[in-house]
Amino acid sequence: MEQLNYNIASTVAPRGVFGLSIGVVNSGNLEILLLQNADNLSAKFIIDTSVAGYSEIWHAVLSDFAAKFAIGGLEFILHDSGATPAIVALRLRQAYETYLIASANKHITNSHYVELTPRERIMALVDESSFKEILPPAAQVTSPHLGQLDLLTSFDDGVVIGDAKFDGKEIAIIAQQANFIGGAVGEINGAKIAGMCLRALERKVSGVILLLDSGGVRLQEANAGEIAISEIIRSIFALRLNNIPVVAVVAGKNGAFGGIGITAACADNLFISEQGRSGVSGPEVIETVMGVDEYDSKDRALVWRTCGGKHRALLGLSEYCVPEIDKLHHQIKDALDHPVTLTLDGLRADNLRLAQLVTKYANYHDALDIWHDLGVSNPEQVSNLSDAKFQQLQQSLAE
Amino acid sequence: MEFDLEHKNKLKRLAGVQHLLSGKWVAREQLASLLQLVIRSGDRVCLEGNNQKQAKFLAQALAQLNPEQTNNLHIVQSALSLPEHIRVFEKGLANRVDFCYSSGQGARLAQLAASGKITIGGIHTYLELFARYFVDLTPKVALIVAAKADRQGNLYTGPNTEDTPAIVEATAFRNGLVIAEVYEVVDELPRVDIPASWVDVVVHSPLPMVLNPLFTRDPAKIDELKILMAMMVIKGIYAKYGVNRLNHGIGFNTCAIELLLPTYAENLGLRDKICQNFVINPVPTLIPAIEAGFVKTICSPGGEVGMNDYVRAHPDIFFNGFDGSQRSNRAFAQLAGLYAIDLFIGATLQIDLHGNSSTATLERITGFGGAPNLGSDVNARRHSTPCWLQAGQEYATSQNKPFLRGRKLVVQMVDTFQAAGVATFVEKLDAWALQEKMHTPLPPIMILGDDVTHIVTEEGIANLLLCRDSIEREQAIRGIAGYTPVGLMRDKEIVNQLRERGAIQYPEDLGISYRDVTRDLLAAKTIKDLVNISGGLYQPPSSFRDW
Repeated sequence: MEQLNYNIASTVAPRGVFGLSIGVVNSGNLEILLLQNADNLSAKFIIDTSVAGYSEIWHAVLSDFAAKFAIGGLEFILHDSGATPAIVALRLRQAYETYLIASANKHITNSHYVELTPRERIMALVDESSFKEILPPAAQVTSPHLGQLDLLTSFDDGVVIGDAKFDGKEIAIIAQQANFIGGAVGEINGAKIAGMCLRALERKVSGVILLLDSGGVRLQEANAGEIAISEIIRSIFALRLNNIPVVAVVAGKNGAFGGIGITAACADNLFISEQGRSGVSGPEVIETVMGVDEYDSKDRALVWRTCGGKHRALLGLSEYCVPEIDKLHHQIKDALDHPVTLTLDGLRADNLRLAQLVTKYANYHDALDIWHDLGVSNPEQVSNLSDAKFQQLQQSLAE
Repeated sequence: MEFDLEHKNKLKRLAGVQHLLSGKWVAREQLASLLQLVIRSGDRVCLEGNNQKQAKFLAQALAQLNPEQTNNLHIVQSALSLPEHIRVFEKGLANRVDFCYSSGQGARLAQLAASGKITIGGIHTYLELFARYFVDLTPKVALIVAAKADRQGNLYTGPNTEDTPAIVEATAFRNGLVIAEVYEVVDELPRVDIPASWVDVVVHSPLPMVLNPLFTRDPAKIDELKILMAMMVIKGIYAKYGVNRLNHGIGFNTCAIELLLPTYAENLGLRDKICQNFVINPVPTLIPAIEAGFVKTICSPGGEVGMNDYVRAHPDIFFNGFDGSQRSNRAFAQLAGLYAIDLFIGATLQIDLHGNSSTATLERITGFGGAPNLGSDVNARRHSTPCWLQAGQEYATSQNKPFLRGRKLVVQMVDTFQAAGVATFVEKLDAWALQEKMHTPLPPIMILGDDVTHIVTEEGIANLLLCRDSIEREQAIRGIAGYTPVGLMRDKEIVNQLRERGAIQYPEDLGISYRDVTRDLLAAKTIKDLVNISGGLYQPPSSFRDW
């Protein structure tokens, strides 16, 4: 790790929006936060980089940037995780364009949920211009532990939280950043999620939406992370007891594992896409503990038919969703419009159903056998079914 | 003089193993005994190892022979890729090799060469090795592989025909013995790819047919820089020259181009104007461009895992047999790549100031494969296309030479850095150090600078055809080398002059805005998208699935 500081002369920047960030701290990438600099005729750069020893190249990249664009009066804070100069130059340009043209609530046209950043996922799903982020990147409330371990922090500690309106209703929304330490929960990250749930309880909102995309607890701050998970779970049940619906969406590349897998299962409605996965121990963990003969984590077809969205849906443990914004919006709206009341009898019935599943399928070795037992005539074809065909299959099984 | 000694020798060897044969068939358990009898010390043996399929059962049997009885073999084969391929040298069965490519075994090959256990006759391109099979490297015994055989010994090689016809033709027609392993025995073949009369012995392999998905790239891993470069290539090269007959390398860079054809190129009005005829394996990332009607024909040197049903359903695009399945032929596809295409584009690990490029790294001998043939201008070409003429005209004008022939466009498309701190552009290629270490006559350069016409980076395009001398050429390369040490040493004045003349073009010179550079432009963003666009015909291997 190395910190570099530069002040480089440039012409006065046009007016724009301060406090926005772009990029993500992930191998070969970086994040940039753009703030105001007191001196109008120079740009300030503060760089934390995981790859030391390239100050001359940094200076060349930044000098070219300052010569090409009017950036006097701007301050750039960079968290660099080994990005090449080309990526750095591109992100600087994007940060500057965002400063010039974007507003805090931009209109998202891309409907591909997986492609969107957590902030974009929120903005695409909620009512336009209604999202009010709490502890945004500019607040720079970051992990107190990662720095001590010589690791990069992230401006929002890998989670985006805030108030918004959904179809006119006041809601609280939370989205995890899959690409920062695998979306994992640490002290600040977990406190943001738990705090947001408690705030929603206090404000008696009409719903809480969790956009989950995480491998679970951050190893580097595991104790704090585990405590945070228990606080999140407790606050979810407090919300539900107060008739505030909690909706979880698992449709990103990380799925929901570890403590976040448990969190997902605590929601009133759990939507999992085909690509989404959920469970407690992840595939690699199971392979490490039980051996490759028991579970080959590289056999991706096996992994997905064991913990993927289709399997979870067929078992009745989640609702199937298609990771397109308007379809997701429709499903979430439906869930918020039809809140379920949490009762002790309801929980007992759920537990009984789970216990029956465990007993019934204890000796089954492959999801294909379970699907066959559930009445699927061609279990081998299920993984290849399109979303529409799979939903037809679900329909026919229900009848 | 007697002129049929080799012929008699072949007949004698065959007669010597008749007791092990039933028709042309040998039992698996008898294979080692048969090879021990039929292969003599000092023989030249072709062990079929392709880019994709491998004669693995025969390779295992060969590696089991006793080196006290069988030794000094000269192995000729396209690709050294299995551990067994190396074991025949480690065991002392063979001591000499002529080959093209050593995927996966490059490090062990280098160690064996350094220790003197193996003498490398030559590292070839595919076409060169096939050509030498017909001149001075004809195999005495060819150990080949086919998908299926019928009882008579006719062979079906199907989508992965690859090198088999070239090997068999050279061996069978000059007194060599052809021994085939097959994965399946059937009463009736879908079609005959190799007639039984060219085959001497067949064995039913107990191993499963394993192919690596060498040409499959996940669109989810294409970043904005590759999209930016792809936009520059489409607008600055494909549209400018009207490139229709071409070959793409197999990296993510060219995949980005393929996925931008139905979106970006379509919006530029380039359908039916560019990219109609490909020489390329059936790469899954071409599916959207095929479905959009961009691509009209594809000639493939091999197959690709999961693409068989898709290829079968597109007989107007691919070369398929009357049975419906694909037939590939590396020799013809490489020939097409040498003479019939107007553009080659690929990526590399290092480029020097002359434009020479190399994928060689120290401690490894990787060889050449087909890229040097695809990525070279051919002095012997005589037929014209507008694209070829335009490139030739540019070069003749800048060199102040008479305009007598066109030029093949040879494009290198690279990020300026391979990773943080690892520059693509270097003063001296690692290939030179490798040459010194391995005592080879020449450094292993993949594409020679003389043949390169354009270098594309995320910074811009260098058009080397427009460079008048070596100084301009060097500065054109420095001018697009970004923040590499080579790029930082640029002469700003010369670079500006080159830019004014169009020898260097930056994205803004091409009217490309960074704001438009997003993954939204990709016609498929995931492997699943490719499956959906193919109508479910593409069946990716498990390692590429996230469903």
